[in-house]
Amino acid sequence: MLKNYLVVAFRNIRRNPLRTFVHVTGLALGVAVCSIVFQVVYHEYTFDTFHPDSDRIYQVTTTTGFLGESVTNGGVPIPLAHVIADEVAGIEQKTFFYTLWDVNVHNPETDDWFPNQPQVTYADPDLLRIFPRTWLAGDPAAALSTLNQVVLTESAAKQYFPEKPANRIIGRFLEYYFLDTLTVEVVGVVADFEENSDFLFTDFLSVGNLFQERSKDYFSTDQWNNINSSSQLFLKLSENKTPEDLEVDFELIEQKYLTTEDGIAMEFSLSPLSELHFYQNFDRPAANKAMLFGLMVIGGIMLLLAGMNFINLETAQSVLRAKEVGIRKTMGSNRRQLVMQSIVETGLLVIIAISFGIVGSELLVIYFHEFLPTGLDIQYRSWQGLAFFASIFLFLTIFSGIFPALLLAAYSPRKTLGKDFRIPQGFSFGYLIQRYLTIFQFACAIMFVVGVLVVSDQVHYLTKRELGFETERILFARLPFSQVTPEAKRSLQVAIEQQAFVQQTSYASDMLASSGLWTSVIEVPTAEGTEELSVQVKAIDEDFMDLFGVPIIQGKNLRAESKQLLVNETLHNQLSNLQRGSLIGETVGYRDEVYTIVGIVPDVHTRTLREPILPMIYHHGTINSNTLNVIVMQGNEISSAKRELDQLFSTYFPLETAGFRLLEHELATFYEWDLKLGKILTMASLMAILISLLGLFALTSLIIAKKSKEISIRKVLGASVQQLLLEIAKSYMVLMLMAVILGSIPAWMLAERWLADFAFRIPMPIHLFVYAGLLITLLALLIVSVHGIKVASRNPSEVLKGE
Amino acid sequence: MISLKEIDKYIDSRFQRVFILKDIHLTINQGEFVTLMGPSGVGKSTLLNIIGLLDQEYAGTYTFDGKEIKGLKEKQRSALHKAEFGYIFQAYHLIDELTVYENIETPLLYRNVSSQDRKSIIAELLDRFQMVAKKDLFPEQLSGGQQQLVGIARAIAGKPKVLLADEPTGNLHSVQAKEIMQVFQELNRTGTTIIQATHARENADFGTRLVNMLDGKIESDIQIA
Repeated sequence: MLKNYLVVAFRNIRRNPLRTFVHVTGLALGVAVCSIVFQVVYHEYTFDTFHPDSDRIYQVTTTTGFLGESVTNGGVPIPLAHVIADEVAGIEQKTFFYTLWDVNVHNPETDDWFPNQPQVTYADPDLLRIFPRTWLAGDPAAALSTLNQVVLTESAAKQYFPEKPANRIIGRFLEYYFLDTLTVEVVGVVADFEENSDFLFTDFLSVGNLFQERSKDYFSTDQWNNINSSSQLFLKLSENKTPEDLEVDFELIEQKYLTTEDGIAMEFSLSPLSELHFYQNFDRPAANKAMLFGLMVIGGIMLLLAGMNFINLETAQSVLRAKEVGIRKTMGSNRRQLVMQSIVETGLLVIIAISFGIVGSELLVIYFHEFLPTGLDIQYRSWQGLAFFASIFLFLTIFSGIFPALLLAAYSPRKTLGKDFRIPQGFSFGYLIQRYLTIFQFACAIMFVVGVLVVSDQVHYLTKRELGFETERILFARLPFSQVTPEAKRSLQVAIEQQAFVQQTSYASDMLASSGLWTSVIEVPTAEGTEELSVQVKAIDEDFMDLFGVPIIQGKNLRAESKQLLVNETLHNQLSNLQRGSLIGETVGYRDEVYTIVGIVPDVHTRTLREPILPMIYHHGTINSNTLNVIVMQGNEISSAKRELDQLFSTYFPLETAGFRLLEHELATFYEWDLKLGKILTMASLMAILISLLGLFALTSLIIAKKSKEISIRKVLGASVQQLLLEIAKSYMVLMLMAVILGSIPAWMLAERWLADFAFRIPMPIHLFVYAGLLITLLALLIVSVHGIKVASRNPSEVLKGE
Repeated sequence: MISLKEIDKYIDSRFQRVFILKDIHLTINQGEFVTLMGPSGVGKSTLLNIIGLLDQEYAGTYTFDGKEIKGLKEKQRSALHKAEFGYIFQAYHLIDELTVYENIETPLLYRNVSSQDRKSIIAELLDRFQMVAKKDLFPEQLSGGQQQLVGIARAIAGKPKVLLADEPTGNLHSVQAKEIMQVFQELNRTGTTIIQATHARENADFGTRLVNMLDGKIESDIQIA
C-alpha cells in the first residue's frame, strides 16, 4: 500500500514540475533558515552543560550601585574567596581563579617566546575538580597546591613543547611575564574540553602565587572594595540547596566586610552556570538572548510561510485531484487511506525539500559566516541534527499536509465522477483559506521589507552624521599596560613624530570616540554646599584637541601637567544652572583634588549614537594615557602610513601583535550589530518575497485557469485585454491592500522599539512603509499579469468550444 | 439479492420538489444481467449510485442480501461496498498517474490482498484481456476500448458479486462496444451479476433483463432471454 502511495506521489511530483518546483523551493528555503537558526541556538545554549552537577554550579557576581545606577560584575573582591567557605553554609565545593591578560610566556630551554597568551589564569586546584578534565600526565591530587606550579592543557603544552609527549613535559619549567614574573614548574597536562565551554583556559598557575605579599599592590588582593572582573568565584552548592538558601549568609558577609560609603552599595548574588554564556565574561562578548530569540522568530516565520504556501497551493489545486479521489473511493478506499496517501505525498515533497534545504543552509553559512558564533561546528548527522530534521519533517508534513489532505479526502465520488462535475464556483472554505494565507504571506514580506528599509535608513543616518571631530587620517595604538614605561612611551612618540607623513601625535587614555566608557564624579560648589555630578572622563594631553580638530569655543587649552579641565557644552550647561556667570576659572573637586575649568569644547559624539552626549571632563593625565593617537598629513596613503607605523611600533614593543588601527574602522564597529541586523533582515525579506511570489505565481495560474471561461465570455462580449487585466488586477489590489495594512502594524511597532534605542535617530519613516507596500504590490501584480495576459489574449473559441 | 422499495430521490428547490427518482420498486436476483435503459437525465446513473452505495441521500428501503442498507454503520457499509461491488464508468476513470498494472492492482490493495495473490490475480486478468504487453503503459497511451478493458479488469479484480456499469460503451465506437459487451456476457455466464445503464438498445440484447426508465420511474421491465 505504502509503495502504491509512493509511486503515485513520485509520479505526481514528476508530472507537475511547476508545483514541485514551487513546493520544494518554498519549503527548502524555510528549512534552510530554520536549520541555521537551530544550529546557532543549539550551539549557544549548550555551553558548559556537560560538567557533572552543572545545575548546582553558580557564579558569584557582585552588583555595585553608584549614584542610582547599578552594574553587575562577574568578579568578586578577592578576600571573599578566603572567607566564603567559613561564613556561608550550603557550599559543597568552591573554586577561585584570577584571569590574566597580556601574558608573555618564555620557554627557557629553547628560548622561545609565546607572546600575548590570552587564556592564562591563576587557579586553585578545585577549578580542575568542579570542572573536571582528563589528566594526561601529572598528579591531580597534588597539582597547584603549592607555589610556582602550572597545569597546561594539551593544546598549550603542544605549543610550548612541540613534539614532546605529555609525561615528558612534567617537571620542566616555564616563565610567565605579566604584572608579575613567575618561573613555574609544569605539574600536569590535561585534555582540552571537546564540548562547548567558556572555560577555555590553557595555563593554570598556582593561585598561591597571587596571594604572595608582593602581589598585593598589583592585584589589590586584600581589598574588599576593589572588584575586578578577572577575579572569579564559582560555587557548587550542596544537594538540595538553592541560591535563596544562601542569601542570609551573604547578607551577613556584606554587613561584616563591606564598608558602606555614601552612594556606593554592594551586593553578592549567585548566577547559574547556564547563564554564564549570556553575560560578558572572560573577555569574550556575551551571547545575545534577544538576538537568538529574534532569529528563532524569523526561522519560525519562514517555516510558517513555507508551510502556508504549501497549503495554499494544494487546496487550490485539490480539485484537479478530485477525480482520482473519486475513483479510489469507488474502488473501496476509505477516508483514512486517502488522507494517508495525501500525507505520504506531502512527506515525500518535504524530504526532497529538506535535502535542498541542507544545501541551502550551507550557502547561508557562507553568506552569514560573520554572524555565526565562533566555534560553531555544523553537524547535520549528529543526533541533535537528525532529531532537528526529523522534527522539521514531522512538523512540515503534518502542518502543511493535513489540511489539503482532509479537503481532498472529503470529495465525494458521486460528484467528482459524474458527468456534470464542475469546478465549484463562489464561496468555498478552501478559497477563503487561500485568500487569508496569501494576505498573511505578503504581510510578512512587507514587514521584513519595511524592517530592512528602516534599519538601513537609520544606519545610513548614523554613519553619515557629523561626529564633531576629525575621523579620517587618524590611527591609534594601545600600548601594553604591563610593560610600558614613561621613557618607552616618550621614545616611541619621538620616533613617530620624526616621520615625514605624521602631522601630530597625542597620548591619551583613549581615542576621542570609542566603545570604552570611563565615568567619575565631580564635586561642584554651590550656594548650599557641594553637589555631586556624574561625568564622563578622558585623560588627554595638550595636543589631543588639536589633533582631533576640536576647537576650544571658550577659554583656552589645558597646560601640560596641570590640574586644569576642559568641559563639554553639556556639562557647561549643567554647571551654568548651578553657578551663575562665566565658568572659566571656576574650580571643581575631582578625585579629592581641586581642578580649574580653563576651556569649553563643543559636544562631540564620543560614544555610539545610541547614547546621548554625556557631561564630560577632559583632564591632563599621563599615567593611564596608553593610547597613542596619530594623525597623518593630508595627501598620504593611510594604509602605507599604517604599515610604517606598525614597523616602528614593533621595534619598540616586539611582543605586541595588535599595532595601529584606523579610527574609522573602530567607529564602524559601533554599528556592526545594526549592519548585521540589516543583513539578516535583507535575507529574510528576500526569502519571504520569494516564497510569497512563488506561491502567488502558482496560485494565480490555478485561479485564472478556473476563470478562463468567464474571461473568454467577457471577451466575446467585447472586453479588451486591458480591461480584462484591470478586472483581474482589481481583485488582487484588495488583497494587497489588506496585506500592506496587516504587515505595517507590526513593522511599525518593531521599528519604533528599535529606533527608541538610539539617542540620535531618524523620525519614523512613513514614506518607507509606502515604498515597501508599493514594491510588494507591484511585484505581485506583475506576477498576476503574466498569467492574466496569457489567458486574456487567448482565442475565446478555444476555451468555449468544449462546453 | 438486491431489493429496492419505494425509492424516491428528489431535490428541494425553493418553490417545488423536483423528483429524480420516484417510487422505484426493483428486485434483482443473483446472476442477472440487467440493462437500465432510457434517455439522458432519466435517473439511470442516480439509481446505479444508490445501488452501488455511493449515494445515501434517498427515501425508501434498500436491502442487499437481506440487510437494510440504511441500518448499517459506515464501517459495515464500506466493507459491503468493498466486498460486493465493482464499478465501470463511461469515461473509464483510470488513475492517470498509474500504469495499467497498478490501476488493476489498486482495488486489491484496498482489500489487503497479499502481494503474491495480487500478482497472480493481475496476471490472470491481463492474460484474459490480452493486455500483458501493455501492462506498463499509462492510460493516456491506450485507445478508448483498451482503457475500458482495463476499467473492467480493475472492476472485477476484487471478485465482486455485482458489477455496476454506467454507460460503459458511451465513449466507444461500435466494434469496441461490441467487444466490451461480449466480455460482460462472458462475466455474467460465470456468475457475476451485472447492472448496466445505457441508452443504446443493442447493448440490452447481451443481457437477460431490460428495465426501461422514463422521468425517474420504471416504465417497463422485460425478461429477454
